[in-house]
Amino acid sequence: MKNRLEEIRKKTNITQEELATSLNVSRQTIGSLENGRYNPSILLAFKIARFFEMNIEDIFIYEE
Amino acid sequence: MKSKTIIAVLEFLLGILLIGFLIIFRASLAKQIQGVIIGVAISFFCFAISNFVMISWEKKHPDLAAKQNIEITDERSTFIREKAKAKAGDITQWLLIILAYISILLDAPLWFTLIIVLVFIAYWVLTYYFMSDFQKKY
Repeated sequence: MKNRLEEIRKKTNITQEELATSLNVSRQTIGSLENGRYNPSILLAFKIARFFEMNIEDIFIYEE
Repeated sequence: MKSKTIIAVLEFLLGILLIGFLIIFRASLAKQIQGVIIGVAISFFCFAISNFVMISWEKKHPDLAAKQNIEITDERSTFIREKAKAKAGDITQWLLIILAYISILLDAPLWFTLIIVLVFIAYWVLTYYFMSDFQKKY
C-alpha cells in the first residue's frame, strides 16, 4: 500500500524519531512505513491519521 | 517495575526452597531427582539474577529502557518475531523428519526414532489445535 507519510511528516517538520515516540512505535517502523515495506495495522493507521489531524485515506492510498 | 521485582524475588525464593528441600530430603531422593532439583534451582537463581540486573539497568537508564520497551511492544517487531518463529517452526518440522530418516539409516534405537516421530505428530496436532482455537477467537 502506498502512503504519503514521509511527505506529510516532512511538511510538519517532524523527525522519524519524534513521530515514533509520539506513536509508541520504533523509528524503524516509521522508516518501513515510509518506504512502503510494511503496512500498518488499522489501529496504527488511525493513530497516524489522528496525530496529523487527517483522514486515513489522506495518508494511505488504497490501490487494487 | 514492581511486578518485575516481585517475580525476581519469587524466583530467588523458589531456588532457595528447592535447595532447602534437597538438603532436608537428600537421603530419600534418587540421584537423578537430586540432579533435576539442582538444575531447576540453578535456573531459578539465574532467572532471578538476570531480572535483578535488568531492573537495576532500567533504573539507571530509564530512557533506554523505554526505548527497549517500545522495541518489544512495537507492532512491526511483534509481526517480525511471530513470522520468524512460524518459519523456524516450519523448518524444524522438516528437520525432524530428516533426523528420523537419519536415525533409521544409522540403526539408532527404536525409541529414539519413535520420539522424533511423536514430536513431529505433536507439532501437527498442536498446529491444528491452535488453528481451530484461533478460528473461534478471531
